[in-house]
Amino acid sequence: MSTILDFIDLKVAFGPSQPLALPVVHGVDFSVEAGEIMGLVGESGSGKSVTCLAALNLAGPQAHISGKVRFDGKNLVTLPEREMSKLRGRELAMIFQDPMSSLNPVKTLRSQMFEAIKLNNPAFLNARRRALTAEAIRLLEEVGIPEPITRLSAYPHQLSGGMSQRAMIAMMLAGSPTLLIADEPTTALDVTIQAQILRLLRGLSDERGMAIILITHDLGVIAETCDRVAVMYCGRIVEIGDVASVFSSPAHPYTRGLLKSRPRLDQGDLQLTPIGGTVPSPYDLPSGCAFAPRCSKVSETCAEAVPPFNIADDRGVACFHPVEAAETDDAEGAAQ
Amino acid sequence: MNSQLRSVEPLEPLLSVRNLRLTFRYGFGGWFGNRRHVHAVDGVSFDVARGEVLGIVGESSSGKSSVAKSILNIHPPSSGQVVFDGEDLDTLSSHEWRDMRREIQYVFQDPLGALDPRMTVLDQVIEPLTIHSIGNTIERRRQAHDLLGAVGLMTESHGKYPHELSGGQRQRVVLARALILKPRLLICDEPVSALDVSIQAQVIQLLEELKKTFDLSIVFISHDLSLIRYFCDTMVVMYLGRIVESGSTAEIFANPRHPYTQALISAIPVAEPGLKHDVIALQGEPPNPFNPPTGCHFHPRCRLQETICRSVYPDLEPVDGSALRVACHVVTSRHQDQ
Repeated sequence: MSTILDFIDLKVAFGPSQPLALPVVHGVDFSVEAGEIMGLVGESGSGKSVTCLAALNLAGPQAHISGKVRFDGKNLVTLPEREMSKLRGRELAMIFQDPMSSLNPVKTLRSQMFEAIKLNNPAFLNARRRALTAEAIRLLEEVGIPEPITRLSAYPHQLSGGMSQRAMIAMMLAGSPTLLIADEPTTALDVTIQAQILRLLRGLSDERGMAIILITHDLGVIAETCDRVAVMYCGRIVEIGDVASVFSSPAHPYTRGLLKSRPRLDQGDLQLTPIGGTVPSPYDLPSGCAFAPRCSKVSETCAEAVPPFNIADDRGVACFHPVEAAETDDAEGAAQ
Repeated sequence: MNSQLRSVEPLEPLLSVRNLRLTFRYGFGGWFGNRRHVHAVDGVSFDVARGEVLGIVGESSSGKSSVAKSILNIHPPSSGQVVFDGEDLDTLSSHEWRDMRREIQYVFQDPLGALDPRMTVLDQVIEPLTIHSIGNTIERRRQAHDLLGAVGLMTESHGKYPHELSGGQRQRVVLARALILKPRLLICDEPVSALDVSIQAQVIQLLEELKKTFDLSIVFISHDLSLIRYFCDTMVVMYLGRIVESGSTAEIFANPRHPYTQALISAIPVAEPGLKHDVIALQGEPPNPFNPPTGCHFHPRCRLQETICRSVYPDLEPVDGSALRVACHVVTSRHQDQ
C-alpha cells in the first residue's frame, strides 16, 4: 500500500500572532494509506477537526501551522494557496457534519452539482448541459439517491438529512479525489440513515481505493467502519493502531476509559465506569501528560513530562504506564 | 394537592397515558390553501410504574419529545387522558397545574438553554423554592447547597454562572434545579446527547444514584438505544407518532419483534470490531410527518410488508401472552397461527 497523506509533527496554534497564539494541536504524527479508512476519535476540543482543516489549509487566517503534511511529494503546509486550491476538491475532499449548511439553500441540486462537476473535473469544464446532466445523474446514482432525475430540480430544503449528505458525497466524488476527510458525517443523522451512509463510505473506499479520514466521537462507528484508529486527547494522539487490536487491548488509560464509559448493546448488565473529571481547557493544560489529572495510573513522572509517543508493530501509545494486554482482562480494581 | 384524601392502590401506575393525541395545525385556510393537520402524537398509551424507568426511543420526528411535552401540558394534548397518581391532569386548573409541576419535572437536552445566563448556580437552584414559597431564605440556601453537593457540584462552583461551567456540570445544575422540589416523576429529554462520551457516563451514573436517593420514577427519552438498554426497565419504540413496540427492555433487546425495532437495534454500531452482526438495512428515509404513508406508517421501508399493511394501521397487540406489545400485522398474525 502506498501512503497518501503523511502528517509529520503537525502543530496548530490560534491567535493574532505567533507568540500570542494558543496551541491546540501539539504535534500530530500519522499517515493514511490508499484504500484504508483511518478513524480519528476524541472528545470535543481534542483537535481532531483542526488537524484535518490545517492539512487542507482551511483552518483560517488566525491559524499558525508548523510541521509537515506530505501529499504526493508536496508539503501542504507550505504550499501556496494557488496550488492548494487546485488540490482541494480534486485530490483532497472534505465533507462536514451538517450537510444542510454546506449546500446553498437558494440553488437547486442541479446547479450545485453542475458547479461541483465543472470545478473539480477538468474534462467537464466546457461540457454541454446534457453531458453535465448525465454525469450528475451517474454520481447521484453511485451514492444511492433514488430517482436522481427528479431530485436534480430539488432545493436543499426538499431533501432529507441523509439525502443531503449523499448529495454532498456525490459532489465530492465529482473530482474523484484520492483522499476524503469526513468530519462527523453521520452525527446529525438518525441511526438507520447513519448505517446507510457508513456503508456507502466503506464501499467507496473498497471499490475506488479512496483513502478516508473519518472524524467521529462514536467508538461504535470506528469499530464498524475503520481499518485503523487514532485516539486524540487535548491536541495529541494518545494511541494509534489497527481497530481490532486497539479495541481488544487498549494500551492508553484514556482509550480504555472511553471504551468502558459507553453502555454496550451486547453486554447490557455491564456496569459503566466513567472517566472522572473533565477535559482540561486549552488555556490551562496540565504541564505533563494532559490526561494525568483524570488518570487512574498516574504517577509523579506523568505530571513532569509529556510522555513520548512509542510506536512498535504498528501500534503507538503515548503513556508512561501503558496498560498491559494481560491487565485489560483483569478486574478494574487493580488499576484504581 | 391533598395527598391524605387520595386513596391510591399500591399497584396503580404513577403515570398512565391513554390514547394521547397531539395535533398541530398549519397553513392558513381560506384563500391561502387548506388548513392542514400534522399528527405529532397519534394515539399513544403507556404506563410508568412507581420507581420504574421508562425509555422512549425513536428517530427524529417520531414524536418522543411531543409525548413528554403533552404530559406536562407544555403542548396541551388534543385528546386522550393523562393520569398522574390517580389524578386526571386534563381536569386541572392552571393554579392546580402549578402545584402539579412540583411533582413532575422536566430535564431538557441543552443545559445551557435551560439555565438563566445571568444567575449563579446557587440562585438557579434556589429559584424553584422561591416560586413555590417553600421555606425561608436560610432554609432554601441550605437545601440548594445540600442538593448541589448531592449532584457532585462542590461549593467553589456555587457562585459561578452557567457559561463558566462545562457541559457536564451544567447538566448537573439542571438536575439539581429539577430535583429541589422533590418531584416524583422526572422526564429526561435526551439528557446526555449534548455531552461528550466520558461525561455522558458520569451523568448517567448520577441519574442512577439520584433515582435511588429520591425514589424517582423516570421517563427517559433518547435516540440512543445503548443508553436505553442500560438505564431503562421498560421501553416504547415510536415511529411517526405511534408506538410500534412496547415491553420490558431486556425482552425487547433479547428478541425484538417489530421489523422497525429489529432494524433499529441492528443499525447501532457496536464498539467491538470482531463482533459481526447483521445490519438490517432499511430502505429509504423516515417518512414526512406532514404526509404519512397510508396504512402502517412503516410499510414503505418494511421487509415484511403485505397487502394489508398498505391500507390498515395495525393495533398495538400483546404477543406471546406477555406484557410485550407489537403493532404489526405480520407479527401478530404469525403469532396467532402458532
